[in-house]
Amino acid sequence: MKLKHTVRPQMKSLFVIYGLLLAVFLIMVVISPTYRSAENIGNIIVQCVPLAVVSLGQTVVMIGGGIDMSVGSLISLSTCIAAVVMKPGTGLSLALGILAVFLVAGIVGLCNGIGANYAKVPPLITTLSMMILLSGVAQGVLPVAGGKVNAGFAKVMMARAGIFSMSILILLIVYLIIRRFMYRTPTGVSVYAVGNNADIAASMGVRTKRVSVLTYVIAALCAAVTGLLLASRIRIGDPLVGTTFGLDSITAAAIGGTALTGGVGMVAGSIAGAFLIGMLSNMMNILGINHFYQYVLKGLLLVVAMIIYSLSSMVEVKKHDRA
Amino acid sequence: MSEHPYLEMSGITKRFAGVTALDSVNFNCELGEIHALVGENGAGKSTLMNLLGGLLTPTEGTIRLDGKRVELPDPNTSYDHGIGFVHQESNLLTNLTVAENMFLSHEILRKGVLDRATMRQKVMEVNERLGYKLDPDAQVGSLKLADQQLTEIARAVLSEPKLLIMDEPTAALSEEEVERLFAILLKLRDQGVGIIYISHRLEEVVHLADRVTVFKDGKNAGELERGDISKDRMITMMVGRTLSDIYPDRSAVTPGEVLLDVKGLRVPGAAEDISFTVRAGEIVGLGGLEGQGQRETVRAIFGDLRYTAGEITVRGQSIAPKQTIGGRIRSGLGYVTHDRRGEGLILHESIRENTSLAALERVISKFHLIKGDEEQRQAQAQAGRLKIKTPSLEQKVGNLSGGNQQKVMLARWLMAGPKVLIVDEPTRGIDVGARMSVYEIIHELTQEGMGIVILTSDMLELIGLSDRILMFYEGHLTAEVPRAEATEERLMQAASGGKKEGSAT
Repeated sequence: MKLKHTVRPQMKSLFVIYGLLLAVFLIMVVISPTYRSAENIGNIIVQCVPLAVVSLGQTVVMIGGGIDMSVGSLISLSTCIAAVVMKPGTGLSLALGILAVFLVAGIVGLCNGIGANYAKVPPLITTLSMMILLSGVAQGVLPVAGGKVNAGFAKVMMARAGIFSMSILILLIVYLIIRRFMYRTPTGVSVYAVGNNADIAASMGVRTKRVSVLTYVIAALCAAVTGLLLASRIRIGDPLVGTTFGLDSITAAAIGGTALTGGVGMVAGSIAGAFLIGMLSNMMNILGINHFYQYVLKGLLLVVAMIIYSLSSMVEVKKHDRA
Repeated sequence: MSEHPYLEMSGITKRFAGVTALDSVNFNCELGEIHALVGENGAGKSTLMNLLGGLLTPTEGTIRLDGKRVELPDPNTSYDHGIGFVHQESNLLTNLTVAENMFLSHEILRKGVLDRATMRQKVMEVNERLGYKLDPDAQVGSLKLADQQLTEIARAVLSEPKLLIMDEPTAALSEEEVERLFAILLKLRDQGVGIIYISHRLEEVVHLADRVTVFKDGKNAGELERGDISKDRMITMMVGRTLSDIYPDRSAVTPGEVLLDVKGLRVPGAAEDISFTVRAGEIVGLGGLEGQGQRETVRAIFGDLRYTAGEITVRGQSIAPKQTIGGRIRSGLGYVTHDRRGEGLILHESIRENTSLAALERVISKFHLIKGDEEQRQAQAQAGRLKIKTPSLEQKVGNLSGGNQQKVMLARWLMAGPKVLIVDEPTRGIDVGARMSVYEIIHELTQEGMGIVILTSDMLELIGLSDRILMFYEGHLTAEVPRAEATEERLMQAASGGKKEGSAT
């Protein structure tokens, strides 16, 4: 990997977050013998991948200086569309189902991007409105969980052998695409530029609005992939299944070192952030801890990660001062 | 040379929300000449260049390149027409690398992805051409201000422009870096590049320019050819009066007791061993290139930055390093920021609210409740005194002109009643009329016994206003120059460390 060519100071935060991930994993291996099995590790990966995929999209939006609250509702809607369109079980309905999910996501992403950039509504408000709107649409499509996801499709999507699985393959593919986009294309560099200072970027010839719109489309498409993964897991559509993913994806990106102020972040960090959240939930399930505490822990995790980042950047400043 | 100049801007008018920044001005530039554009703050120089750079579009008027009429709706179009632009203020993305900034939106691709190796190579070539030592992979935010400026120049040169706009490129450069830049500009000119050079440093202009166009209040005020260019002539055209008319006469000033005493101040990473005093009725000017620690010094004095050594005494009363800004205001300090829109004014609130902000706690409230009529009365008094032009005190500050906004900033501090007022860039972006009244106000305040510290990047202002000038270089005080000895040469020398420096880039 030629990451050497794209060294940014945030690289250091990757060590922090992956170190934390490893530490949590080791602690769990020590306290719970059942944890060690390839079976369980494979399980955890399959559980964590949906959040990781949507977090990648969220990261792109956040690096570009925006935020997307609507991905959770879009995930729910995606499962509903998939389950309704695929219900007949034919090959055609499968293809239409997948197409419909991505088409809707693309339109949602465009609307978010246009609202936040051309209508000049703050991204938080634009996507919050979209979140509420989409949760209504999802419940219109399927008032209660139902429909049926193509069985063959679900089987392929959930295929796994030991620690390997279709889920991890999908995550890998999405990650490689986004990584290449962010670090190896002019538009990817522009996303960082727009997140840092859109006015300056514009004065240097970047089409800032287009770039920003694109980030919302990417986030929505990632949410669609997550929706298809979840639909394959539960085999039906559920208008509420994605509810927590909006905030969780922002949390995962933030834990992974992406700044809410834009311009700073690395996509690999968000995967670790998502896995950290997923692994902690998994650990609490294994230990039989009430799920309310999961929220407490998630909150604490975020705060601790933020404190670590802010302390390490203070150390940076001090070094800079001495130089 | 052809019968028409390469660049011809004619009858250019630009209005912003009712304010006329440019009033049917003409400007042209030949290939192979250095054409200086001079004028005071707010004369419209930068506005005209922003039109050429595609950042703004003219309200009226035409731009011709090589005789053909062109529209320049965005920076890329200007770029494609061979116009390079080095901006006045650092105009780079701090989170990207030097190479990424230099190639942004004009990247070199190979097989559809960024060809970073070739871009790095090109950066090194430009380095060699310009005699710089920029690291293509360094993050711009971690560079010194001077190196950021060099990065901008390198970006413009990289595009092989036919016309190169330089809007105050030397504000952050040392004497040696300036000399090297001049050598490059002369070389580019001889290679047939047309260079439009904006500077406040008139000596630079005399040294460099083949032709000078002078702007005053958004209009053409004259043009000088090579042999006729002199500082005095430019100043007379710029201001329409001689210097002594603009700046208040301070020959009768006799400073009183020491109000502010700073000893051995150390601001980590910015300033070292800074000592100076400010007396009652005195204006002390802090000068130097941009980013030499002068701003950090006054911010530390005001309690906005941490300092690790040194003692600050206001009116004989020592200020603890941990003292808050609020505490320092109570001790008699005030600070008018250079960035009035960004960190000074609350633009969507009224003049009244903005004016009373620093005095709320102490002057006009009782039991932590604001006395509305007292606030109204005092804000009215200050607005009247400073002649703020507005139909009502309830006018939103964002709707005022730059000059009136600056007066609101001053009004705020007058209401708080400081003994020492620090004024950072008092006249940036305001017109000549407002400038003179700001000077007049500052002068009056000293007559009432206030001590004033001013920071300014405008050399003429520094010389014209200060009773004593302290020059900063790389975080140290390099000279203390009394009014009588203050000349541009003397100050520039002190601003560059007092001697020829050997440090590259």
